[in-house]
Amino acid sequence: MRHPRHDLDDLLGHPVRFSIVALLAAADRAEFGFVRDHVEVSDSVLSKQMSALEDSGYVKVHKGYVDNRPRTWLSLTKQGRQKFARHLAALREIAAGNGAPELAS
Amino acid sequence: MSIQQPTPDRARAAIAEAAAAHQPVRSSDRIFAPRLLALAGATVGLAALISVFTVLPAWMGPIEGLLAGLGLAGAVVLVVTIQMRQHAYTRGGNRLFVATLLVWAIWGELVFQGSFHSDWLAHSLPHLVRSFHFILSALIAVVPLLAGALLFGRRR
Repeated sequence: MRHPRHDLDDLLGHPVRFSIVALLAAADRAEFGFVRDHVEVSDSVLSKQMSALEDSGYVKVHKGYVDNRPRTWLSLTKQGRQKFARHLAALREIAAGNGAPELAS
Repeated sequence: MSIQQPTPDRARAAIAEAAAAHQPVRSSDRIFAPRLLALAGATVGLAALISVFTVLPAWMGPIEGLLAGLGLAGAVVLVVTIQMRQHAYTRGGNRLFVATLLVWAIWGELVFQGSFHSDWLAHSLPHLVRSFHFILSALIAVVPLLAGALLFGRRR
């Protein structure tokens, strides 16, 4: 039987990135400030992690203006949704005890 | 070197976090409700205004027309302002909102076409009765908006 850890996504192993993607997975679109407030990170931390997710094709950034004020909306790409679903399925397998945890060396 | 993997407890915590992430987004869907109510209010308000002008033609004039226009513009501004306060929405919420608008457009057209092509809004009716019927038609026409608002309002 294939070990579930092989389906874990390296990018989503980072707790902040996981939280961002988990929130975006629930949304069609979410505003930058909404994500920042719910993930409880600073603007700069969110920007940095968003860049990593955008560069990997997980997240799409939509920029626009409302009332002459810049607005940034974030959404998961199809690839991002698939990767997250796979990562979550692997976590479920691990949580169910399919694959004993290894000690990190 | 072995690959680090989460313990079952950490995996369960991550799964719980992913499940909990749906709650704030679903809650933010509730702002669709006032948008639909604003549209319903504007529709019924406009129907009432048209009825008043029909019953009391003496009230019709450029100032009243301007007021009616301002009222409608106010409704549009209200809908847009509420929209600006929406910071996230679910895919299901967005689809329900669009579906509600489509059903409203079709249902409203059917209601008014039915009203105009029946005795319900016959020209032979007294002005007051016809105006009352017109407002009732408008109320029936916005039922999909009210139903949509109710569905969004119940989201938790």
